[in-house]
Amino acid sequence: MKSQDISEELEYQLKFLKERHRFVDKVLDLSLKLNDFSMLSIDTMSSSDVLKETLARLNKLLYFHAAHFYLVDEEDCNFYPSDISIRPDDLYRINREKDILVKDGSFAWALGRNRPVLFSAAEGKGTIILHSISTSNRTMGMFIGIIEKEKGELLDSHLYFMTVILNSAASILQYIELYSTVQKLNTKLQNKVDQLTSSEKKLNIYKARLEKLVKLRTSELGESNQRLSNTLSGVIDAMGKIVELRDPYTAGHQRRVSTIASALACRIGLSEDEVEGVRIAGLVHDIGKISIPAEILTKPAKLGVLELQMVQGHPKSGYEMLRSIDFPWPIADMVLQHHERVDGSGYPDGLRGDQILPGSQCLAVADVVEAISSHRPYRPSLGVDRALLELQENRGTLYDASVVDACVCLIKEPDFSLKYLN
Amino acid sequence: MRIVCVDSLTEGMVTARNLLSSDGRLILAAGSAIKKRHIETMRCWGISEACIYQSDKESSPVKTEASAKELPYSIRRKLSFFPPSDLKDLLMSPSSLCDNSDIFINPPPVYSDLKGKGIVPFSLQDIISVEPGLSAFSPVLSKILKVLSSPDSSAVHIARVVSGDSAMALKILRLVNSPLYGFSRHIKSISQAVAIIGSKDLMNIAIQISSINYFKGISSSLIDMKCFWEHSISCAIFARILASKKMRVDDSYYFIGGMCLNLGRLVTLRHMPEVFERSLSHSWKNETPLKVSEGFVMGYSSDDISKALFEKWFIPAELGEALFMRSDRDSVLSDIDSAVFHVAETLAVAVGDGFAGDYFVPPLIDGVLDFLGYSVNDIRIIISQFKRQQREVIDAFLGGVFQ
Repeated sequence: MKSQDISEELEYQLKFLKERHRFVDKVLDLSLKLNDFSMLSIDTMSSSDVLKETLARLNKLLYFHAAHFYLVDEEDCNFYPSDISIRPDDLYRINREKDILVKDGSFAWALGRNRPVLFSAAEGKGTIILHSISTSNRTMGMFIGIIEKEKGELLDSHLYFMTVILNSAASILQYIELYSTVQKLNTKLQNKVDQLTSSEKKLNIYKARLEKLVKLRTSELGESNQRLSNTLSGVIDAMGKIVELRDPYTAGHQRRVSTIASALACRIGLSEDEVEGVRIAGLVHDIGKISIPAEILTKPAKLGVLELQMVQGHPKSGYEMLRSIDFPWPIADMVLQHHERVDGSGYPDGLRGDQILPGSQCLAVADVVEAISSHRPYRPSLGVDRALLELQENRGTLYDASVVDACVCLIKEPDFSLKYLN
Repeated sequence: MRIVCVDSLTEGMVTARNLLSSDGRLILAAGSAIKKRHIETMRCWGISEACIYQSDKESSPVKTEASAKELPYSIRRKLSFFPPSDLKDLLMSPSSLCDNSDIFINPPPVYSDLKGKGIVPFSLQDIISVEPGLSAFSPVLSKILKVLSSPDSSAVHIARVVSGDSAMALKILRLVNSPLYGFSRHIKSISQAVAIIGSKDLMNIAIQISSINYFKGISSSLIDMKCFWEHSISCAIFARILASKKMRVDDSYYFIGGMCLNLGRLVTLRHMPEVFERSLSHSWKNETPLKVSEGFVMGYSSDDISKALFEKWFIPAELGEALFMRSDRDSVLSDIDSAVFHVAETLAVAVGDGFAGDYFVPPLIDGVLDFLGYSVNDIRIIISQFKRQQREVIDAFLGGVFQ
């Protein structure tokens, strides 16, 4: 009796398990098929292709009297009926049910659950099935279907498959959304790159124009600079000539001092620019003599004390005349100091050694060399040798040693008189 | 700036904060004017409210006190413990109430003394020992349990055991096929049912069915059994909806919890009907919660009975704990399950159908809605969702039992 019970029990179990086995096989097969959207080409398919396929699969599972998808609009997040075809009557009915479900909050309730939610239809007979179309992180839309009560024989597991189908659909819809977002971004990027390229071209044109303009302006500036410096030399030349006009004995003195002093400046290692300053200072170094009466300047005899004082005032007068002119070199100072001596015995300020500008040292040496070598109202030329003697005697005391050395070399050059004293 | 319920939003109001959907989509940026379609969008997503800039011209929201005055006395009295609040206004608004919210409440007879002549309540110990529990009533249930606890149990065994009780099997099929479980109506055999819903859920269903049948015979002039279960189902539905925000998966747990909320009262009613009536009477007369009145009359409450009997009722220990702690302040503010049952009971008493002895709506513990992440406006939506679900679920459970 007991063993009969056991064998009955076992037989029952066996039968049951076989049934389960077949069932599970079917289920696996089905779920594989349901999940497979690979026959749709991912590049070209649209969301309505996916929804059409999804609806076809759902309709194979359950017989829907009417069914439709509502998709979340990317812009305003509202749920809009998808554009797959549906009979207007059916859409009207589903829309009405949807509106009621939205109003009483059931739509939102179903949205939060990833499983079928069933309600009795608000109007007419039938059951409404809602199922959200969502992935783990994004809600893509809502499925709403109506099943008429008396129609169709259903397998109970079908509602599970509904979840499987709609979850796959949601993944693909999200994929499409992402794909189109990326494509939009790409297009935007391409546009930006194009814009950038074209604006770069424009920029190059502007740059070329600008360069041309700069060149033009630079050459204009150079010209006007040249004109200006021509004017300056003209003025300086004129100034020199004014002094020489009043003192014919020293005619050409400034020019010659200028030439010798600039040669010395070059030799003691002043820069080209400084040499130019020395040259200009030389051209006007006696400008202060304008204020000295012509009779004294041209007096062919030794000067009295007062007369000598007047003559010795010329560096200061020259300084006063020149200091208001905005030279790029310390012309006025060089003129002021050209009678200063290294040992402090010079005038007007009795400066010593390094207190005296190198340019003035050059002027001093050039001045004395030129003065000794040329005629003076009160004596004839003493000759170059006398000048050499003067320099050598006073090297380091009256005159700067290096300038004296440079001058001695210069004087010993064969064509010195010809080149510098003419 | 103020929070406005979705029902009270009008076109042209300007949002003060970004309006986001549950999955983080931007519905409306802060500083935009609301249009009609935005309100529709909010409803779709279940967004209950929006933060709005208040313009000077706007008056503060009009309260619906006036219409609340026209409510039946019993309903106004029901909320007399409830501190004035937006939630109270909501619970008293006619649109929140179910059609039958008040018709079951009959005032109990008034007794002058707590304990009538010759009526001696059982001690808690006694009542627990005389209460046989479900297994005694439903041999099938105890068999199911035996099978479940055996190491080599299988769906086959369970199905076979359940099939042995045709009434139970019928009821299970009816329930499994109802919208409550979300399956189609065509699960045809118990073995299919077991395979689909799993043995744990099957046991839950069996418990629910057994307990409804178990107490079917109780009759009381004050508590109608159908009303009692309607109230329990209201609790169950509210618990399920309230839990769905945080616990998306297993909501049958909350459903059965809601169903079992007041089982202890049925035990009291079965064994000491007069004592129970006196508790009701005391509660009505003195305007105290039933639990307090029970303390006066019996020295303990029906909840204490429940707690002692949960094991006999096969209610999982953690669920039993959550149910028992649903009126304990600290538990409610730290344990989601306790909080869910606490709020579910309040809402069910306030606006649900049925009656299980509560003349007064238990006030909510401060902060419990915040703890669960709900605003008063969310509760408005939850009540609306509840109303759509309750009819269908009540039919599924009680259909055929009480006709």
